[in-house]
Parts: sequence; structure tokens; C-alpha cells
Amino acid sequence: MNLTNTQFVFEGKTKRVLIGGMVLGVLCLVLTALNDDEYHTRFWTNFLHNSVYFTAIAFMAMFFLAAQITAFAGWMTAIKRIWESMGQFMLVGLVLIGIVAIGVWGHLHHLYHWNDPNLNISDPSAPHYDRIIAGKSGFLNPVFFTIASIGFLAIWYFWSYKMRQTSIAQDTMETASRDYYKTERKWAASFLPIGGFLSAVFFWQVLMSVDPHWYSTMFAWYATASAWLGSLALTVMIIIYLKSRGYLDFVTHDHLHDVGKYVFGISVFWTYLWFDQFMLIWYANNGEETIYFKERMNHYPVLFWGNLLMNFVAPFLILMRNDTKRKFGTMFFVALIVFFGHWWDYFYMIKPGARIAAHEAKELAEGGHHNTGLSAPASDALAVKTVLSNVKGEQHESGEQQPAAAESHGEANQPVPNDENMHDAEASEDGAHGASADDHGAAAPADEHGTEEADHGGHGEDAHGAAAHAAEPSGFRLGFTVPGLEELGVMIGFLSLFLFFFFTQLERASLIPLKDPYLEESLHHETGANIEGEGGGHDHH
Amino acid sequence: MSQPVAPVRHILIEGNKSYHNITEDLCTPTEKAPSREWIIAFSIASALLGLYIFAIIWTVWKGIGSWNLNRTINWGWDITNFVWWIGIGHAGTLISAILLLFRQRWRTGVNRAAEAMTIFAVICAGQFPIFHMGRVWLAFFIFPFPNTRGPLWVNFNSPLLWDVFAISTYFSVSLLFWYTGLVPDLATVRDRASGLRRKMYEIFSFGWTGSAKHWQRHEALSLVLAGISTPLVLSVHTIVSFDFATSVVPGWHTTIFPPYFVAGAIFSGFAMVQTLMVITRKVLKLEQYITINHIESMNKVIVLTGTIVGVAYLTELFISWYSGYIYEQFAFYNRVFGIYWWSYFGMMFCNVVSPQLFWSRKIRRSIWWTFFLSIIVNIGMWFERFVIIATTLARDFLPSSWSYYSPTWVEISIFAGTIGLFFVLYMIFTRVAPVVAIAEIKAILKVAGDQYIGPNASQGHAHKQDEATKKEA
Amino acid sequence: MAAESKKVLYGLYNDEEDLKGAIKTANAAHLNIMDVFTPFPVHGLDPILGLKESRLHILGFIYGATGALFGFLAMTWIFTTDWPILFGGKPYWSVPAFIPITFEMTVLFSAWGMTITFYTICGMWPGVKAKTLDNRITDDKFCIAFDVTDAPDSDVKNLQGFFTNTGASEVNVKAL
Repeated sequence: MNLTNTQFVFEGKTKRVLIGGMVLGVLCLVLTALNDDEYHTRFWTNFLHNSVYFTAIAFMAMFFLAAQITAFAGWMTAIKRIWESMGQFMLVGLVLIGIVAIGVWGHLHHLYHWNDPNLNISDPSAPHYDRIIAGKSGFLNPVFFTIASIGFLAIWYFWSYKMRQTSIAQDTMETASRDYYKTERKWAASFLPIGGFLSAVFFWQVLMSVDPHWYSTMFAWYATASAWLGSLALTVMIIIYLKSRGYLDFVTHDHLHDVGKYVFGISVFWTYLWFDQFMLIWYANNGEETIYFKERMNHYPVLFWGNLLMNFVAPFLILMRNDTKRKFGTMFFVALIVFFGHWWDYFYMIKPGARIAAHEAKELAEGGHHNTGLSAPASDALAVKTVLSNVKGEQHESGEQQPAAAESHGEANQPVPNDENMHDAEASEDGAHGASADDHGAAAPADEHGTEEADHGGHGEDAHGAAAHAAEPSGFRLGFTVPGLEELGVMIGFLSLFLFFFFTQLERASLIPLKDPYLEESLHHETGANIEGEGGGHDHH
Repeated sequence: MSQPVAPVRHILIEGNKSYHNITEDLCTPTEKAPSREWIIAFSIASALLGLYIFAIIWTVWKGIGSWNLNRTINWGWDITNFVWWIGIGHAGTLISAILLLFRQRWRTGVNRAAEAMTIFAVICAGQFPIFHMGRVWLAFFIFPFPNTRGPLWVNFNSPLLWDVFAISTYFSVSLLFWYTGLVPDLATVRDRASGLRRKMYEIFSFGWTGSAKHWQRHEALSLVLAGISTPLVLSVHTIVSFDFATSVVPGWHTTIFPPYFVAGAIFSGFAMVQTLMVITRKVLKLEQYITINHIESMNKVIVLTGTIVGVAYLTELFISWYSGYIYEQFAFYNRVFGIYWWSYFGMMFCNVVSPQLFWSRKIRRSIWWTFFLSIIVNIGMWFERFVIIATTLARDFLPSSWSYYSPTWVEISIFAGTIGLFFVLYMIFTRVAPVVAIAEIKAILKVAGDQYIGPNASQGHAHKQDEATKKEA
Repeated sequence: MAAESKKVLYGLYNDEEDLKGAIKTANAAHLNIMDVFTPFPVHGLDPILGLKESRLHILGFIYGATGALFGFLAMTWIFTTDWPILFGGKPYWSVPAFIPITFEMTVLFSAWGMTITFYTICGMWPGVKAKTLDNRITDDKFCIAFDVTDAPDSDVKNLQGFFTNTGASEVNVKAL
């Protein structure tokens, strides 16, 4: 076993390439800011999207490492330093999310509708009182935002810094003591509940509140699983890159195989969470919940289905076989899809909500909310409807448009009469149930509709939600309904930043913790897979 | 081809065992006459089983009216118990499948018993929906089959039907997994037996010889079964949670239910495994195979899953406030401060607070604490289901139909009776089959036995068996 | 079924490492091993015995795919063609609602199919009489067996020599 080449050198050439990437990212950010609405929504969503995605990747790298350490995992010792270094990016994340937080305080962006200065959440008697957001204002406010984003990140970073320091200190210890190992275990074990509890709040605050009227208890875990996969996929790509540069001789097919199993398994898990969230909302058909998927399926079909294609179908079919998880080329390809796929998933979580927020900001600034009839005085029963109408436009207006929508449902051979009846019957009913009615028409059969782009022309966008006001109706509009070239450029910029920071961290210590008690186990790691015609995997015997 | 073992790994087999010792130790309980303790315990369990049979006959004879279900609370103890038992079953599959995939060696000490527990728990769970049907002789209507009622089918859109599929699949696949793992060990018992016993075990061991090719296929099969059991076990409690979460009932309709039910199931399952193992290892003298290290590992899983469940409870609570939806807010207010407040606090205390004691290594490694807390967790998880079901149903949309529910003696007897059923089955199991997987223990001896690893290892990672063993053989 | 009896020469070893060493020696001497019996699955035995990887998992995939298709298509046919019923305003063909049962059918078919296949190809069923060479094989002995039904005495001698040289603790002949 070759343990000589254990010191990574961050070469000037690599640095220059990464700096180039960052410049590209800045350029693209500027481009998106120029070609943008008055609130620079595109610029800010790009910024938030990438900041959160890469920060969450760093967090999950550390969280996963902590889980592995706590579970006595030995196999991963060979790649431990990669995760440690990835985790340190939370320091940069602190700055990035800090900028978002400054934006919240200074009202520099309108990513968060709850932070709109024109929003009435204090005076129920005044027009446009938003009872729902008023009810949430104890949580959705700049102070809490700062705590949940920067504050929590700082705590996580502290833990990841401590774990990293302990691990590095272990390299230089003289005696064969287990002190560092024990200390590291303590940091790791305590990070699990801290990360577990706080990450939920973090994701509610920075991601879910982009759709401030909408809620889902699953959301935080869903976002976490997504970041987890981004983190694993990036790990695979980094391993393969480092091996191609002549490092990591000790990382074998067997290690890759295990990371591959995680990519496969967590992809299935992500799909499971996706399905649970989608199915439960589809099944119960509450308007205030279905709006989330309806919006995405009707106006962002490419985004919606692409998400499933890249994050479930591709890794599931490719990684089902044992041998694909052991091939560097295949794994790199899959990792690329998964990494991009979950970046896409974050775009899917942020963009539609942020566009609605911008639209609403404009409406508020112009002095009128669409749902004048319903806002005040908001009785409890009506309140639920307010949720909907805030997002969806005026109630009676959508009612008029409903037949147009129903027609197109008819084409898809749905039990249409039911939709209409329910709409008419419940439009006047109390809010608890009535709220779901107008959604019903679109949400129930939407799973078939979403794919058909042609559908949208015929739908009458006004009937279907505020995004229609915000932008031209289209299922495929680069930069808005799907990531465009500038978005890609921004992603490359952030990725370069991530890698730059990662490599500087990686350089600071040996690529493998040489005094780790699990070192030998990891070096002789075998998955037990007996793949014919494979040379490299077993040569260390 | 020795695998290196990290010096910090725990010893999982104590007492300098040879292969033969392992066979002896693990087969003896099936060969000896039952001990007095066993007979006493079995009698108690049988009495409870008798109570169960009586209460069930009563229910069928008198009708479901003998239960205290009422207009709004149409699910009471029955479904609470159903979910509770199903949850308990999950630990077995987790240990046998998920921990196999994660290569956690400590699973070998407890997997056999935990899998058996899974099967028995599912049997107990199944009783409740079946007898809740009322006309139990028509229970087969839940299966889709061409019938004389016209082409009338079951509702494939109903989560209750998904349950039928999920639980029958889970039961049968768990049974296959468990039994296939048991076959080589039954062959071991067979090869030590004589006379009628030998004939019986010849039938049950399917003619197992231990051929290398058979072992290879056996391992391949186990691995794939583990692979598909992992999503299966997730799906089962997921679908159980769908029973609630697909509805529009506030407090039930929440998207986190599926993963949170699964975590809760594993949590309660491990608690039950602990309860059983602490007793079993003592009574059957298996302390050297189910060591304190095993118990500690399981306690760690308990604190982990307990905390996950805690995150989910708080998420639910927070989001109900956050939703701004008054019915949702009321549902949770009612859970915490309503008529069944005691069950909510019982749940929070038993499931979230009490397992945190396991952060202390001392408590984690204490048999008494483990046993005590495992009982607490079992109670807590029962409360959780009761909170979800009864509290919610007692306060539905119409205040005029708000009510309070407490069980009749019949319901209590059925619940207590299923515990009897469970223990009768489990205790028979300990008499007829090795409680610890013999072959699997042998397979990890050289990486987990105390003569090979740990501070007193005499063998290092030697290839040769130690001399003591040779002499004995 | 096996009415014709086989004469088997077998040796027992005390440790799996001895067994593996013996198999390697046998391979080098081109001895034709009939079978190897062990009390537990010995790590690293398959490659030296030249056993090909089991293809059970491929069958498992095929069974699973069959189950998935069967479940999904059955529900589709029943709810769109045979007896369409409207449930809760959902479309007749409610794909999200079909997924749980489709998944269960996948697992059910895959698990049962593979297990039945396993027992069938191993010739194992309730009541099959085990062709056990020695009772201690399921306890602590590792066994190499040679088929010597038609072997000349010289070969048998040769094999016995092989067992002695490789450290077998016992060598016996048994008719199966």
C-alpha cells in the first residue's frame, strides 16, 4: 500500500482555473442582475440558491462524517479528510448567507415576501392585512432569520472546526494514545442532535419561507436529503479528480463502491421523501398545500420532471448494478448528474416562490393587493382562503376562469364534472374545506398535465396563479423556469469558490489521517463484491 | 486472508470461544428440558393468551359494541395497538437488513431473536384490524380477487388497502428472510439430535448440507433480501402513517408522518429488543454472545431514533403554529393541553426526554437502566399512537360531537392478550431454535472474539485457531 | 432421487485457513474437488474454489419487475376498464395512489421468487434428507470431499496422502 503521496499540493495552475471559474461566476451574476426585473430577483435567487446549496453541502459533509464516526465506521477513514475539508466551507457559507441576511435587513431583495416593507401584518383593520404572515411574524422576521441562518451556521462551523482540529492534531501525536480519537467522537456525537435540530429551522428559514404562505413538515428533511446527495456526489467527483492527479492511491474501488452505495441509497431515500411529500399533498388536496406543486407542475414542468429524472431515474437505474458503482468513469458521470440534479432541486425549491414574492412586492408597491375583497376583516374561516388568494389572485376572478381550465382537463379524460361541482358548491362554504376547492380542478389531475407544455397556452394563465402575472407564460424559459446559461455560470463560480476553499483546506493536512485507529481497516477495506475482470481492487493483498 | 480489525473495536464474543463452544452454547437451550423460570413465565404468557382468546370470542360474539368506540372515536385502542405492534416489528428488519448493509457486526448477536420478534409482533398487530372489521368471517374481502359479488374490487386508492398489501408482504418476506437464515442453524441442531427430534429437524432444515455453493447462494440471497427488506420496512410504517396522513384531519395530515413513523417504529422496536434481550441473555446464559457492547450499541440507536422522533414532534408542533391554519393549531393545542394532555406529556417524557439519559456511557452500559428505560420507551411509543389517534378524534370538526374515550375491559384484555400471544410465540421460539444465529457468530469470531481482538487478545489477527480450541476438539 | 450411491472420500479440517490452504494445494495438483462443506460461509472461499458469482440477484430483479408490472397493470385495468369508480374526485388512473401497492408487489414477487429459486436450485425442501458426510460439519469441521466412486485405488491413496499433507484431522470414506 502506497502511503507516500499523502500531501496534497494546490498548484498554481489549478488555482488559476478556479479563479477563472469564480470570475465567470461573478460575470454571470452581473449579467443576471442586468437582465432582470426591478427587484433583481434573478440575481438574488441565483445568489441565495448557490449560497444555500454549497453551504448545505458543506454542512451535510460534516454531518455525515459525524454520523460515520459515531457509528464506528472504519471504511471511510481513507476519505475522511475530504469530508473534513468540505465541511470547512461553512465559514465561507457564513459570509454568503450573511449577505442574504444583510439583504433582509436592508430590504435589498424581495426573496422573502414576509419581509416586504409594504406588507401589512400589523393592522387587521387596514386593507391588505395578511393574517397568515402576521401569524408567522414571530418566526419570519429579520432577527430570527439572522439567528437561524448565520447563528446556526456559526455553531455548525464551530463544531466542524473542532472536529477538524482534533483530527489533524491526531496526526502529530507521539504516543499511541486514544485521546484524540475519543475527543473527536464526542464532538461528532454531539454534532448529530445539534445539526439535526438546527438544520430543520435553518431550512425553514432560508428556503421554505420563500413560499411564506405554504408549509410542509417534510420540507426540512427533504432539503437535507437533497443537500446530502449533492455532498456525496461532489465527494465522488473530488475523489476521482484527486486520483487522476495522482493522489489517493489508498482509495480503491471498494471505497468508491461504498460511496456509490450511499449515492444510490440516499437517492432512493430522497425519492421516498419526495414521493411522501407530493403524494400526501396530492391526496389530501388542500388548496393551501397543493398550490406549491400546482405552481411548479403547471408553470415549471421542465423543472419539475427534470428533478425526478436526474435525481431518481438516473442514479437508480445506473447504480442498481454492483459493477457500475466500482467504475470511476461511470461513477463520475452519475455523480455529475446527481450533483447537478440536486442543484436543480434547490432551484426548484427557490425560484417559483421567489418569483411570486417579487410579483407580490410589485403589487404591494403599486398599492393594491389583488385580493381586496377577502383581506379584512379576516374571520378565522376566511383566513385560510386568504392564504390562497394571496397567492392565487382574486377569488371570483379565478372562478370565472375556471371553465377554461376545466375544459383542458377534460381533454385528459378526467372526472371533470366533479371538479366544477365542487368548486361551485364550496366556493361559498367555510374556508377550511372550501379552500381546497378551486385548487381541486388543477391539482388532482395535474400529474398528467404537467408534462404537456401545450397545456399552458389553453389554460388561461390568470386562473392559475400569480406567477402568470410575474412572467410570460412558458414552461421553458431559460433563467426563469429552468436554470439558464447564466445560472450555470453562477454555479460554476460558486463551485470554483467551494473547490478553491476546499483545496486550501485539504492542503493543510495529510490526505489520510495516519494515526487514526481505523486506518488499517480502511486501507484493507473490501466490500465483498467479487467483480470479475477487475484488477485494481484487490492488489493490496 | 485476514481482515484487519481496528484496535478500538468492541469485543462481541467473550469467553475465548471455539467454534464448537459456540455450537454447544447456542444449541443447548433447545436441547435441555425447560427451566422452572421458563415454565412459570410460559404459564403467565399462556394465561394472557387465554384471556386474549376469551376477549376475542366475546368481541366476535357480542360485536364491536363491546368496545368503547363511539361516534367520533372510531379508532381507539385497537388501531393504537396495531400501530404499536407493527412498529415493534421494525427493529428486527432494521437489525437484520439495514445493519447488514451497513456491516455492523454487532447485529449478529441479536438479529435472529429480533427477526423472530418482528414476525410475532406482526402477528399480534394483524389481530387488531382483523377483529375491528366486526364480521371477521368476511375478512378475506380485503383481498382483491375475482368474486361472486360481480366485478367488484377493493379500493386501490385507499391507504387501508395499501396496508393490507404492505403488511402481508412484510410478514411473508420477513418470514422468508428469517427462516432462510435459520435453516443452517436448524441443520446444526439436527446434526446434534437423534431419534424423533432429529426427524423433526430434518424436515425443518430442508436438507441443508453446508456446501460451499449453497453458502454462496445463501449469502447472495440474504444480501438481496436485505436490500429489498430495507425499503420494505420503510414502506410498511410509511403506509401505516398514510392511514392518517392522507386524510384532511388536522393533526394527521402532515407530510413528515412517513419518515417520522419509521423512526418511531425503529425506536420502539429497539426498546422491545432490549427488553427481550436483557431477559433472554440472562435466562439462556448468553451473556458472552449478547454482550454489554451489543446492549450499548442498541442504546445508541435508541437515543438516535428517540432524538429523530423528538425533532419530528417539535417540527409538527412548530409547523402547526407556523401554518396559520386554526384547525391545525387547535389540534396541537388540544394534544398538549387538551383532555388527553397526560398522554402527550407521557409521550414527550418517555420518548424524547428519557432516552437522553443514554448519553451517559454509564447508563448506556447498565443492564438495569437499559431494561428500565426500554420499558419506558415502549410505554412512550404506545402513548404516541394514542395521542395521534384518540386525541385527534375526540375533538373533531363538530364541537357537538366531541367526546371522551376510555377502553372497556374487552379492549384492555385484547391488548394484554396480544402481549401474551407475543410471549408465548417468543418463548416457544427460544425452545425450538437457536436464539442467536450460530453460523453468523462463527463467521465473525475471528474479527470479534476476545481472543482475537481487544486488550487480552492472545491470537492477534492470527490465522491459526488457538491451541486451547484444538485440544478441546 | 439419488438412487445410485456415490462413494465419497472426505477429509475434515479444524480451521478455515487450513481448508483454504488445502484447496489451494488441491488446485495446484489439479485434484477434482467434488464439494466443500463448512459450518459457516467462509470469507474468500468462492474465488479459490472457482465458484462463479451467484446470479440470484438478476433473477430477483426480473421477478421484481414482473411484480411491479403485474401490480400496476392490474390496478390500471381494474380502475380504468373493468370497473372505474370515482374516489374523492381523483382521476380514475391515479398513478400516485398506485405506487405503494406497486412497490409492495415488487418486493413480494422478488423475495418469494428468489427464495423459491434458491431452494429449488439447491435441491432443498422440507423433508429432503440431508446428504451429510459428517455431523460435525455443521458444528466446527471444514470438509473437502472427493467423488471416488469409480476412482482406482491409486487415486484414493493419492487423495489420502493429500489430506494427510494438508493437515486434515480425519479422513473417511462414505457412501452417499
